[in-house]
Amino acid sequence: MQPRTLRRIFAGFFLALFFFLSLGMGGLWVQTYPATLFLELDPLHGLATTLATGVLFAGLALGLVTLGLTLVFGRVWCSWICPLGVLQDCAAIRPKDKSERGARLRNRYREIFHLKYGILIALLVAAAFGVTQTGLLDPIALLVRSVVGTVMPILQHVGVPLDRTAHLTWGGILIGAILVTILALPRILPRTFCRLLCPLGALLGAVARYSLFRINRDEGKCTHCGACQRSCQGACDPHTKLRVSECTVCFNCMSACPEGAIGYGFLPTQAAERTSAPDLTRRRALTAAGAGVVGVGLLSTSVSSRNTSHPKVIRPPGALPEEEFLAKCIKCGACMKVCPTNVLQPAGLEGGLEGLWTPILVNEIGYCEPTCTRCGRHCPTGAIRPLSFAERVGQPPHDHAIRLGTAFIDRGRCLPWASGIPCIVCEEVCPVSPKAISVEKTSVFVGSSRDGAPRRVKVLVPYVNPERCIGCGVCENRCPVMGKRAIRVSSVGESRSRKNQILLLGKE
Amino acid sequence: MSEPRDEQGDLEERTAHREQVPSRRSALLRVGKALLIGGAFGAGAAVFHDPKNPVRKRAQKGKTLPSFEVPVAPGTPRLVEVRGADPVKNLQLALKALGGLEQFIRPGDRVLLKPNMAFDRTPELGSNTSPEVMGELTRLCRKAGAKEVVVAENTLFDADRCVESSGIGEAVRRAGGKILIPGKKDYAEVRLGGQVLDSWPFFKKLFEVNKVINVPTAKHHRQSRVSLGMKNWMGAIGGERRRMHQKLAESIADLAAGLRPTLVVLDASRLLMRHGPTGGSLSDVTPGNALIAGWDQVAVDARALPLLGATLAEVLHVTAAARVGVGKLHLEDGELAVINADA
Repeated sequence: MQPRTLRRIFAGFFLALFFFLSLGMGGLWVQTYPATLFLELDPLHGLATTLATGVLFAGLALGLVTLGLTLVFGRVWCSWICPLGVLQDCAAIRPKDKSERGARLRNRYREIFHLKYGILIALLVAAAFGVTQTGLLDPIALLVRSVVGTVMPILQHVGVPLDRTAHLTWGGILIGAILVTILALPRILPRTFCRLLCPLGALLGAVARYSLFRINRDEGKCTHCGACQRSCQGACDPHTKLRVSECTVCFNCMSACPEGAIGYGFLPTQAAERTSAPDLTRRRALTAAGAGVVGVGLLSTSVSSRNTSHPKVIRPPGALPEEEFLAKCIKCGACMKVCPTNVLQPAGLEGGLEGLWTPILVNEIGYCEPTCTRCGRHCPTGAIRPLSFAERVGQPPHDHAIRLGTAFIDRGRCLPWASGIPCIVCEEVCPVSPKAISVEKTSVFVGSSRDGAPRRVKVLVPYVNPERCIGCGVCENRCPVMGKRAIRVSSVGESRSRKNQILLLGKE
Repeated sequence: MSEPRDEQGDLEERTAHREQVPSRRSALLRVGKALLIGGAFGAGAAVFHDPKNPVRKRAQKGKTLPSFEVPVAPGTPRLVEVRGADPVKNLQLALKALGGLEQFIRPGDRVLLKPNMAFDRTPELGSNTSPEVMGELTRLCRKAGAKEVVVAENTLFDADRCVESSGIGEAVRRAGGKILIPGKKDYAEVRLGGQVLDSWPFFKKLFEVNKVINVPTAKHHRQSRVSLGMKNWMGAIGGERRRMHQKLAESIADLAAGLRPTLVVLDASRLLMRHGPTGGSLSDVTPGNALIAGWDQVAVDARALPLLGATLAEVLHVTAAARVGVGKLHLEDGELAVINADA
C-alpha cells in the first residue's frame, strides 16, 4: 500500500468520526457521549484557557495526546486527523490549474506563511491577559461552530431528519460564509487556511521542530524532478531543504517520488533540513506579541459585556461570571448543539466584539429547560461549568435555583394590561414552584370604541415576582404577542454576577 | 495564430452561421426550435397563469373527526366514581361497573390514549396522569384485543424529559403500548365549525385510530379554574394554542364538541390544588383517592369539580360545553354509580 493511501484511510476515518460525533448529539442518551472529543484533543484550547485562567480544565488534558503525537511523528494531526484539513484536501481534488507548473507554484513555500505563527503569538499573548479569542480561528472550534450554526440548520431545512428544530441566525450566516470561503480557496491554493492562518497548525509546527520521526530525502537517489514538491500539502519544500515545521507528514512526496528517494524515519540526518524552526524572526515575533497586547486593550476596554451588563447577553445555566466566561469560552458551539430547545444561539455584537459567537439565550426561539444541565456537561473548557441537578433547581444544600435573568412585563403590549383581553399564558407555563408569575383580577382602562372614553374592565393580569423568577424564558417563549413579546427576560438578576442585580438580597 | 480545435458539430454550426443563405434544412430546424421554445414558455404560462390570486390558495378547512363514541348497552351508567386508595383497583372497578372495557374496545381496534403528560414532573407532584393508571389502562386495552395502543401528547416542556419524569413512558411501554410525540408535520387541520374555532390542527394520528380514551388528571388552573377532561384536549392539538386563552371556555367547548372520545378516565388519585397546571411542590398536592370514568365528557368533568373545591359557576368551560350539546350537566337516577373500593 502507498503511504499516502494509509494516510487517506486514517483521514477518512477521523472525518467520519467527527461528523458522527457532531451531528449525532441529540436525545437524552447524549449525556454519556464523547461529543466534544475533537475539541478536547485540540491542545490550543488547553493552552489558551490555561494561560487565561490558570486552570487546565478536565478533558482538555487530552491535548497532551496530540502534543505527544506531534513530538514523535511531526504534524500528523494536520493531515491525518484534523477534519478541517481533510475537508480542504477534498476540496482541492480538482485544482483550477492542472499544469505541472501550476502544481509547482501552488505548493511552493511562500514567505507570507509565517503569518500563522504571528497569529498564534498574538492570540496567546491576548489569552495571557484574559482575552481568549483562539476559538475564532482554531480549526476544530471553527468547524464545530459551522456544523451547529450552518450545516445542521441547512440539512434540516432541506429535509434531513435531525432530532430537533435548528434555526439559522445572523451569526450562522457569517459562520457559514467563512466556512465556504475556507473550503473554496484550496482549488487555487491547497490548504490556504492551514498554511496561512491556522493557529493550531502553528502551535504544532513549533512543536514539530523537536519531532523524532521526519521526512528524509536521499540526495544520492534524487534526480531533482520536482514531483515531490508538486504534490506537497504543507508547502514545506521536500524537493530541497525540508521545512519541518511546515511539513504535515502527508506522505504525498513519498508516494510521488519515482526514484524512492524520499523516506520517513527515526531521527534522520538533519543535513537536508533548511530549518526546523518556524520561519519567524525576533522582530516578527515581537510585532505579533505587540498586536496581541493592542488587541487586548481594544477588546477589553471598549464597551462590552465584560464591563457593562447587556440585557440580551443572557448566558446559559452554569456560565462563569462574565470575565471568567470570556476567558474560557472558545465559541465552539457545543453547548448550542446539545441544547434541547435551541434557545442557545451564537451572539452577534450584543456583548461587544469580544463576545462574538459566544452562547446567549434567544427566548423567541426557545427557552431554558428548567432541569436541564446539558450545556454545562458538554462545554469542553468549563466556561459553562457542569451543574448538579440539585444546584440547578435549588434543592438543598442550595438556597435557590440558578437564575439566568429576570422577566419583565411590557404593560404596553401585554393583552390584559393593554387591552383588557384575557390571557394568562405566562402564568400557566411558569415552571417555578411556587410560581414566579401570578395573576390577579385587576381593573384596567382600555380604549373604548363608541364614545372614545376609556372603559374600565376587570381582568386577570400578570405580575412577576423578581425574587422567584429564574429567567428561564418559558413565559417569553410562549407569550402570544408575537415578534417583540409582552413579557421579556433580561440578564439582570443572573446568579453568576454580583454586579448585574436589582434586589438587595440579604446575605452574600 | 492557430485555429482553435473544435468539435466536429461545433464547427459545422459555426460554418452554417457564416453562410449568407442557410440551407432549407437548417432554416427549418432553427424555426422549429424557436417554435418549440416559444411554445414551451407559452404552455407554461397557460398552465400557471392566474388573473386574480398571487399565490395558490391553501383553502384547507380540513375534515371533521369521526366520533369515537360507541353505542352502550341500556342501563350502562354515564359515569362511575370509585373511591379508594389504589388507583389500579379503582380503574378496574370503574371499568367493570361500566360493563367492562370490552364494551368499548373491540379486538383489532387501534386506540389512542391522551394522558396529561405535558410536564417535566415526577408522578407524586400531581401535574401528570399517574403512570399506574396509564400502564393498567394500556394493558387492559391490549387484553381487550386492541391491535395498537398509542399514548400521544403535545408536551409543554421538553418531550424526552416529560415522558421520562412522568413515569408514563416506562409504564406504557411495559404494558405493550407506544408513546407518540407528534412532530410539526404530525398535525392535520380538523374542521370544527364551533362558536370561536372554525378549524384547528389536531394529532394526525386521530385519523388513523378508531378509539380514543381521554385520561386526564385533576388539577388547578388559574384561568379555567380546573383542568380536567375537556381541558386536556389542549394537549391533543397543535397550532398557536396560546391564543385560545382569550376565549378559553368557548375554545375548550369547541374542542370537546369536535373530538368525541370513546371514554374519559379521570385520574384523581392525586389532586394538584394550587399553582396548576405546572405545580412542582408536594405541598400543593393532596391525595384524591378517586377515579371517575364515563362516556359523557361534561358529566365526568362536572362530577369532579367538588374534588378541587370548585363550583360549576366558576368553571365556565364545562357549562359552555353543555350548552353546545357535548354532554349532560345534571344526571338522573341510574346514570351514576358510586363505588367505595376500600369498603
